[in-house]
Amino acid sequence: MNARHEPIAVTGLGIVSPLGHELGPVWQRLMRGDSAISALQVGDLPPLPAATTAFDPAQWLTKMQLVGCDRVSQLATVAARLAVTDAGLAPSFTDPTRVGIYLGTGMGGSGSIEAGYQAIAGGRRMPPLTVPASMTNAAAAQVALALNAQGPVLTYAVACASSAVAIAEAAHALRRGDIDIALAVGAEALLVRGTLTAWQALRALAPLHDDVARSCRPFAPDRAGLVLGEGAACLVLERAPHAQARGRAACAWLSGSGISCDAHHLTQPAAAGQARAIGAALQASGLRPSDIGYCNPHGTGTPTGDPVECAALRAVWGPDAPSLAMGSTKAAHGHLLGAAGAMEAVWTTLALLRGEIPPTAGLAAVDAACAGLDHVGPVGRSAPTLRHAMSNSFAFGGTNVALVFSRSMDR
Amino acid sequence: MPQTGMPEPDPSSMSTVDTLKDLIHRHFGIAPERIDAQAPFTTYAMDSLTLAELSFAIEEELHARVPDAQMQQLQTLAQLADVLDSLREPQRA
Repeated sequence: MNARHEPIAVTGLGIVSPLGHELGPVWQRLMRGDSAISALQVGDLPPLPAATTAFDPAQWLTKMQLVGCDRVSQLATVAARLAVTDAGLAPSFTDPTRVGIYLGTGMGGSGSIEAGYQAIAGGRRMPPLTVPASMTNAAAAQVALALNAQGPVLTYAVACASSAVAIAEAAHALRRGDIDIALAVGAEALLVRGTLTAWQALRALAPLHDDVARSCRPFAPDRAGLVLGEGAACLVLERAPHAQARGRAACAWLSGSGISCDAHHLTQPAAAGQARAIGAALQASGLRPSDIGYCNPHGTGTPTGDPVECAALRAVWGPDAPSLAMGSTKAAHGHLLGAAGAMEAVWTTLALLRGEIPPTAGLAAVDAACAGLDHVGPVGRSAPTLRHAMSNSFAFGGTNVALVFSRSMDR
Repeated sequence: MPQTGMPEPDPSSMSTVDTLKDLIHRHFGIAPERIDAQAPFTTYAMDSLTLAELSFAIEEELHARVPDAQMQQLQTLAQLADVLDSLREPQRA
């Protein structure tokens, strides 16, 4: 049984997303039901729907900072910098030794690995910084270097749940007193030929839809798979006394988290395992299912995954399931894999902050297997009484994470 | 390459040191006037990683390969220029 968690203040947010980098305009796009998904042509691959992030690293990082810095690290560093500024912590930390980085990424430095294999295939010399650029903890290390964070700098590679795990673990580190400030980051940059080919071979990707922007259709009867995206998001987390001491009000509270593993199948989800994570998060938050006014579901748009998640939610919510509002933002920005948990935690925080529920963009009809819940779509909905919300992340490998956030009454 | 509005230097008329300064400027953003060719690389923030990248850039752009072991012994840009000149000498002969 989980003990009830001490709520942790979310005091800063930063995003580098397919929908943009400024929270206000991006939120408006989400609420309108916009989509950032477009056709991506990489090498000789057939065009695929994908959500790329318009990002010029030269606008943010010096050439020296870009040496050995993979795109995933660039995205992470900029998202973290934006979050630190949003939290009023820039330009430097009072005590860098009390600042930790908790970063989730699924594929790490895919671009650098790709460049290395291309060098081998082309008979060229291997780029000398391939190892430090592509190692899985490179992004966390680059964030630490850029911000001079000298506490624990840790990387979580738990596929699609990576940064949701990072958020949960960062909060536990704060509760233990290991650190005073945690940057919980998610970052992914995998839209390169080799990685795309591997995902395509898995037959998990949606094909181009006639309306390309609607290629990712969670919960819809004609959903056809997930759409990959890239980007990064960061949440600044602190214990309440630390935030109060420096005069910062919380954007929202991380009330609790739950983590489970299906131990069932490498890629097939299981409702029982998901329900255990959701139940554990509710228990840790001291909340009942009916207290949750919005769920940002994992909702990737795969034929198999969406009904399983809906079954898990119906099992936990029971007779209250029809009143659980849910909208999958992946319809708008694709699946950011290791970055998904952090990006969607940002949306969940903004939903509470603004009293609005983002939709499953474009959702016109709900598959019978996904019914029995309050699906929000094709556009968002006002929810001024929203108090608590949940974000789900379920990973290949069977790890399930549910995060519960609560509204801050100070903003 | 940044568009500065200044005419690009003609590499064929540049000394090896100036060619290297130009290459360092383009790859690492260090202004040529900051670089003292006789001073250790570290005085203008070139470390082991950036030197590895510099070695790679030299190979790509100048078509000369400084052996890794030799590269790791070099302390200054002037020393690197001497090595490059000696590598090129047989080609000129």
